[in-house]
Amino acid sequence: MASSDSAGETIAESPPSTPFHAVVEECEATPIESPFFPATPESGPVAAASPFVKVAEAELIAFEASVQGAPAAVPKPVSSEPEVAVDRHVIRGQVATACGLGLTQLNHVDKIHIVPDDRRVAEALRDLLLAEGFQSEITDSVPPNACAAIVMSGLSEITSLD
Amino acid sequence: MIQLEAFKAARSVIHGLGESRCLFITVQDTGGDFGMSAASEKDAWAGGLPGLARTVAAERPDVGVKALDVEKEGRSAEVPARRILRELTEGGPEVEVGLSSDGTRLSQGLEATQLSRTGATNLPQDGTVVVHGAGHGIFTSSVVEMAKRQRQRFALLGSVVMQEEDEDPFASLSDPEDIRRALIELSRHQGENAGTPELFEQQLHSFLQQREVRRLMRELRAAGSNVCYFAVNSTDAGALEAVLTQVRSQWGGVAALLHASASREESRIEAKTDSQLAQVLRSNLLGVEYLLALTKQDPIQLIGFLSPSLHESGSAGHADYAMANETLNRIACAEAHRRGSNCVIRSINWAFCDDGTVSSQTEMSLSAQGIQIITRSQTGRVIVDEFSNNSRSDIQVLLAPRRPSGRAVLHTSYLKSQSEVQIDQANSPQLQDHKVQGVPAVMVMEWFLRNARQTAGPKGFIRCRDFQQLQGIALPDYGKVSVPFSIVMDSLSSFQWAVSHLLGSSMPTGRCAIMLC
Repeated sequence: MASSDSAGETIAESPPSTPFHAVVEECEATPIESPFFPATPESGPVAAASPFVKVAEAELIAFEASVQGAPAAVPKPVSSEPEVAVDRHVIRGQVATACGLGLTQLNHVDKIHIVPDDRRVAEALRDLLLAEGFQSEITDSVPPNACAAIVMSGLSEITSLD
Repeated sequence: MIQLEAFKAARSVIHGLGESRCLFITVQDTGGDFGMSAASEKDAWAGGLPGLARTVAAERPDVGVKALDVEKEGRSAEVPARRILRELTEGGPEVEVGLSSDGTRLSQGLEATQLSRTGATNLPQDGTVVVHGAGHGIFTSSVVEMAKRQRQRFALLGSVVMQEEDEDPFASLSDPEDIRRALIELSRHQGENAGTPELFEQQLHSFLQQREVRRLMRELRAAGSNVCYFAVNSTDAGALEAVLTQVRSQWGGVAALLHASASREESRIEAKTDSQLAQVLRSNLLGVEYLLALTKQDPIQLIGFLSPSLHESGSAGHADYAMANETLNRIACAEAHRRGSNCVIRSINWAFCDDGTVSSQTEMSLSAQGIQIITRSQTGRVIVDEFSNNSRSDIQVLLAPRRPSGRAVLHTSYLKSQSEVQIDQANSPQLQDHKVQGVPAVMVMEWFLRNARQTAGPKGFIRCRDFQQLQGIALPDYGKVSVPFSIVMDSLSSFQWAVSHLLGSSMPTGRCAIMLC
């Protein structure tokens, strides 16, 4: 839903309950000029005097000699430099209703190569894609010059980086 | 390594990118919300896939890209498969979409919040601060700022093997270019075989890293803190354990663990090798994995991961770091769940700071919009403010320069979106009377707004202007076949607006400018 004013400008805002409902809202005009924006020695002697020289596989370069006692907990005043012009954003999941628009490319690829998972979701997806008329097959490695790949191995049980 | 497997698949698709259209989709199960609500530690290892998908979208805007997080928990294989198919055909333009088992559909969004301004320190006071990945500009500033606010014991862990300072043959040189030339000259003078460019780059990097570490140690000591440096292979769990054992015996348990990753080598996906990717992932993630495991019994009060944001500035050329950083974000969420309320955990991404990753072209472009690059020292202060913030729920935080009034930060899930709508008698019966005149303009505008609405998020405002219908959209086969229309949104990154085209064939049939504010 949208409305146009006499200047041909439409301003839309959607209330949370109806994601695609738009109402006219006064908004500060901002000119748009172009549709495409351009885009020490402090380390001391390395080995001989260090208590950590024999650390396996690790090379101790320096260690402060005065390690006795905890450092004093003396908060220092914060710098009086000008305020930092920084915005803070927390990255969170936001509920987003499906809007009924699909991936354009889906209808234009020859064959979809599916890298499988260990829960057989890939096989189920392949069957659904075939039923919808999309050529697709399961493959352990996507062939060179393939034009479509769905990597489903992220559904598998993964216990470490390797 | 599933991240490597996915990378190979992406490279194959990009090689295949010619005249035909291409598609690249990743699917993972990190709880349907990209691991934000306490994924288990093991699930976090699939968390890098959205970083890869985002990079493909940034490098190849014509490729259709999605990164799906599908919660499968207790369901037959067909249920998640149906949801995946539905998302591909009817979901929307977002790249990253979470599909949880209760039917909720999520996208990743940025919630603007107040900057932490703690001033007084709330940092760990006893024990050792373990700093992994020392020798990086923004990270150095942050660690020094931390020492200025509260004296600490810092154990610096890095990969570079230090020479004595008086052994630096280029001590009088400061410009990296001068040092590079001097290295080449020295090699010739000594009659050695000319080294390869890669060798000279390694040597130069080593020299610069050593200097950065020395400077950091000097500044930490000047601030009254104790400091030591260990050159250690962080992919060697045994070596890390030995270092930690020694540190604990001298300085007590680990009170804080800080890790930084930095983007160095830039190459696009088709030029990046498997070994390059594996090396970045292993060096950035294995050390973190081992350190977290080895410090499970330590009284850790703060865990901080620092990495440049590849959201806003785009991850083109940095698939490996995008994947590593995204995995770190997921690990942070899992670790927060595991450690509970006793520990502050932050995975901080920064955008457009003076860390050497912002090109002069980007800087000029930002400047033209009234956006200033944040200095290193400023970034350091804000990051330590963040470490001092007790909030346990704000785990993944993005810090970016303040925008001119009225502009919003966007997630680059929307770098360029291309969606399709299918028109047929079943879903658009109202067009029965429009077969001759064609699709009404109001419907075309509705499609544009749907696309933009997904981009703006629930709290965003959309302004649509300069709407034009360039030609009529007749539907001669209405009632017989589905008619596809593409909605293409161009040039949308951090610049808040885009032009949408409606494609009925190869020619645009309608267009408008969308502005988000």
